[in-house]
Amino acid sequence: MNNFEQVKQRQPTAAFAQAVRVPISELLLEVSGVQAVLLATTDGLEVANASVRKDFDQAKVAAVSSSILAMVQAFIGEIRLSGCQSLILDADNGKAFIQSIPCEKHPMVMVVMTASNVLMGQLFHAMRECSSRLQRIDQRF
Amino acid sequence: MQRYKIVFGGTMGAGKTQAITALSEIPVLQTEALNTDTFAHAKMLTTVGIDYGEISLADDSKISLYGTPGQARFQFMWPLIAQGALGIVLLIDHSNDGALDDLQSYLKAFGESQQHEFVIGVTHVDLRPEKSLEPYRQYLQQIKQSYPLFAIDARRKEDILLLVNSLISVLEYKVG
Repeated sequence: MNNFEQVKQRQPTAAFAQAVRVPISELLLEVSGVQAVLLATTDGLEVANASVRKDFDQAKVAAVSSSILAMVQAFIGEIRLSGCQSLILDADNGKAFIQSIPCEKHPMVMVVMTASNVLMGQLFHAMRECSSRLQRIDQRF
Repeated sequence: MQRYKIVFGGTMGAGKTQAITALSEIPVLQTEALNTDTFAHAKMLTTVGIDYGEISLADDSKISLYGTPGQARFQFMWPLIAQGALGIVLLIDHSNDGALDDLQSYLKAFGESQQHEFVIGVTHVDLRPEKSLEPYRQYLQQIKQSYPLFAIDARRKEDILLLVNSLISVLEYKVG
């Protein structure tokens, strides 16, 4: 593989974006209270989203979430903790979960926006399942 | 001990992380991710949060060096990081065809929310030796600004020190 092909391979293809949309759509439908699920590259470009909300700018959320996760991971390293893959933002009118999806070829960030009353245990289980499926899809591309 | 803050802004791939790494006396805190925006630049990693380094001055004060992500989609971070900064070191990649436009847009973006002093480092000049630096100077004259402008190599500590010292000199002159 030449350099150009190697560089090109880093960009998620349309087929990859279509494939990863399936598990995130299921996450949206299966867990009550989930309002939006967005996948972004770790450098802040939107890959796919599934949402019942239209009141946010996906491109901006993709950029901000990648920054937040990178900053938190840098902070975690500075205070000598390790293995932080997710964070929860708990606001008055809802929650946001930002999780690292450690795919080998296409490392991503998943943002899940929910209502305040979402069942956290059910959501965490579904997010973990979703992450595993995304990593399996990554291996095919 | 006095602490000051200088922010490095400018184009993706212009050498902001390199510059801070070249100058910092402490291991640089980096927030790099795999670069998938290969249309903008072919490099493997790119800053998505901040870079952070430090240098000491002769009078026992310290300068904190903050690097910003260069891509326009991270513009929301620029005024946040630049808050309270002594000034901005703007690095412009001369090898980009739209380098002059880059200079205009970064000066505008960083100057919008707060008045800042700028020093401009033009990088990768060796990749386009036929291109003159004159258009940048003409543009600065046109907008009636006399920001110092140098062709530099972001990997060379002396070059980055030149930028930082120029910025400090301008600030000292203005304070009187």
